Amino acid sequence: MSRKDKDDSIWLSEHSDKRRIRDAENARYNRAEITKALSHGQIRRRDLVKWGLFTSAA
Amino acid sequence: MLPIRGLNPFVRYAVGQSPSPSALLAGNSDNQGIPTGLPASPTFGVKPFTQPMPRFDVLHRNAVSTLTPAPMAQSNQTQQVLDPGFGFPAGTKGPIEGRPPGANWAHQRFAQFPPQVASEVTTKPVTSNTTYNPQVTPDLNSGINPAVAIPAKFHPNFPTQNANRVWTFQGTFPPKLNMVRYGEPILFRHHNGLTTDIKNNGGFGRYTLTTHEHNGHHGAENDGFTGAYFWPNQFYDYHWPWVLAGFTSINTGATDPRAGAPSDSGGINKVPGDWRETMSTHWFHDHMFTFTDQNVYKCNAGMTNIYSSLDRGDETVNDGVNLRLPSGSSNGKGWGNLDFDVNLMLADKAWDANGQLNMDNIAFDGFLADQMTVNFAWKPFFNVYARRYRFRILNASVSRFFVLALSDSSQFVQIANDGNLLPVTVPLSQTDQLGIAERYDIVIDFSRYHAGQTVDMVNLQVHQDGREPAQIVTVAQALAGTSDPAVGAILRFKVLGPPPQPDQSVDLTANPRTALIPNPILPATARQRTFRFDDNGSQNQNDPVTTYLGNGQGSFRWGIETDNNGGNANSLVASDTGGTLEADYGRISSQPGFATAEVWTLQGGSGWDHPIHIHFEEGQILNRNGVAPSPAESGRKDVYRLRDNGSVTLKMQFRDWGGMFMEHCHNTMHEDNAMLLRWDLDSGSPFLSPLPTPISKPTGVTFETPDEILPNA
Repeated sequence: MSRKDKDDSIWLSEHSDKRRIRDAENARYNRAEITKALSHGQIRRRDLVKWGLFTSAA
Repeated sequence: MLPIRGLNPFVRYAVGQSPSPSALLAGNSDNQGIPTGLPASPTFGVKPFTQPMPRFDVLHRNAVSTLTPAPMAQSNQTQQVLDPGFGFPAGTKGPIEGRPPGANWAHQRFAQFPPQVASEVTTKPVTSNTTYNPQVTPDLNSGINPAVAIPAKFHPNFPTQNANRVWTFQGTFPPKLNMVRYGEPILFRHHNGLTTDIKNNGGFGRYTLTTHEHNGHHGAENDGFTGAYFWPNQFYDYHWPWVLAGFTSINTGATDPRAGAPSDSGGINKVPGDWRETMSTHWFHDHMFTFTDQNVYKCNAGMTNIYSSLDRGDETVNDGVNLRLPSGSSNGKGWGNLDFDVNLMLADKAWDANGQLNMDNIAFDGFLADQMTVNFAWKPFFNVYARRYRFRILNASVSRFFVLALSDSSQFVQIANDGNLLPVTVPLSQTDQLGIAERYDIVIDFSRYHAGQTVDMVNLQVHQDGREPAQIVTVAQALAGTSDPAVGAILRFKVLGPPPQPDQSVDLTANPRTALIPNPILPATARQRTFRFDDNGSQNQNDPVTTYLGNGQGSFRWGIETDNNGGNANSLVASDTGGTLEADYGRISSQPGFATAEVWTLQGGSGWDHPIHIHFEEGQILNRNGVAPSPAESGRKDVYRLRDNGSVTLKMQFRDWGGMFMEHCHNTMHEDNAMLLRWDLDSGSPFLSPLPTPISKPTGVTFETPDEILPNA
């Protein structure tokens, strides 16, 4: 773990665990797919709610 | 309110995580929290400050007779066959103009203010610019030869942008500048030149458009109402008459030379209205319902310079009215000189591994990019002579705030806020926070530098996320690097040496509190209202077109609670307000009285900062959390930063024009996720009260009864 990972546990760094980085890259891909689907009108925001992609603030 | 963690391990965790100060000041090489939800943008080995900053591309001012078809008061409903891309049966027709039809959406006072100038623009996919029109000589444009095509790149050594990633006015870089004068009505014909293939958008952006002239004192039919959007192959005629607010009640005989516009001979064309309402710097941008963030991020934004008898754009005119702000005089017209009057559009951008503009649009807290652009150019330089310059600075970001300083911490002078010249100038060594959509006009005196010296414009405002700005760092800390890659130097000024002609602008440094334009005198308060901007909004309507989510979806997104009785902002009663409601442009939240003045209190939520924009009218801040505003925000404004759990109380007048307007957070990620409301101003005939809601389709605009009118609206 990099100093930042260890100290703050906020962001991944290039030195983070490779599996975590791979998961993160997959997550980014998934987010881009959702952004694209929203902009194409293939899904609606209410679908995001149904899928549980929104959570309320504490 | 955050997307669940599993969708993006790179974003900050939701619970109880605040980075230490040391983390914020750490170098950014391993920071993957910004850009939000995206990998760091590559810079392809290119060093910053190696490209010239292009001045804005000035829109041509054409004769109205060049417009075909001729503009009409009511929307032109001539039918055309729709493009098959829309998916309608072959031969289906729709109107050529997307403006809603009929009397309610006819240009108000069209006969009184017939258009004198035409600006014809098209939003379309980006390509090279072969018609660049900066209206300054190359020495005033860092050596840029306008005869050489400007590529669609954020830097000459970056990849060319794919046409579907960037949509701009006229389909080219740099951003466009509209130059207007009071008393000279403009017909801004906006064509939608985007593809009818909704999927051909590079992954973000929506092909429907509606253009807000921010913050014009125009009729609502020309305000870019979020639901009055138009479709590819249509146009929309915006009639911007450029009148001084109060023209129906103040100085109606046009006798005061301070209420006027520059004539072509260096004189003044007097106009009716209140000279204290003179405005100077606007911008125009897309306002498509729930897609503003994406479309503006795709570079669909420009700026407007408004010239008046007070703010002439010719520093040599010494008639006792002209304030002689830095501009130059080389065009010989007596107005509109851009030589030393420079527009700066600041926006953070991100791009993917191929250099293509990139955006994460489910960053519901706000989207932060990691690369700074000025006039769509990545970290450019700008050559200046050793004299005074005016900079009209716009924050065109999605969620990012700025605090600006010079790298040597030297002083400059703020002269305007939100495009309105201040009552008195404010000397500063760093600006206040510049919220999204705010504009600060400043004057920098480069005469203190020698030829060959450089000084940088530096961003001091650190962000951890899109919720709100974090701390403001010192110039030294910003230049050393922080956890936020968009902090630090963003624009380099290179000093050429003495100017070719003497500087004849007013020396604001010699008189640091120079009087400019006093605030308008406000009439008695007719009503008070309170608006609370918070999360956990809910929806009580189920209109499939005009609502953000529709009914029955629970409390999820941003919302606004409206107390039309002006209740205590911290103890609003849901039975009086309807609760914190998500956007529905079919809902009328307030109906201010025509020709009255009201006091509005805007209350923000805890853990957030919302820059709230109120359309149409400029307001004056009475107090911020009960305390008088700072000198820099003591003038007229149209964007009000609330700050964390903060409260702003302001006073506005409602006059001259009617229709449906908006109020919303200008963190456009918040705006597009339901932090927007509609308020209507009924100016009388031919307006109805309430106004029907437009429902836009390629086949034409229909109307429906408003979904709801809030209590005591």
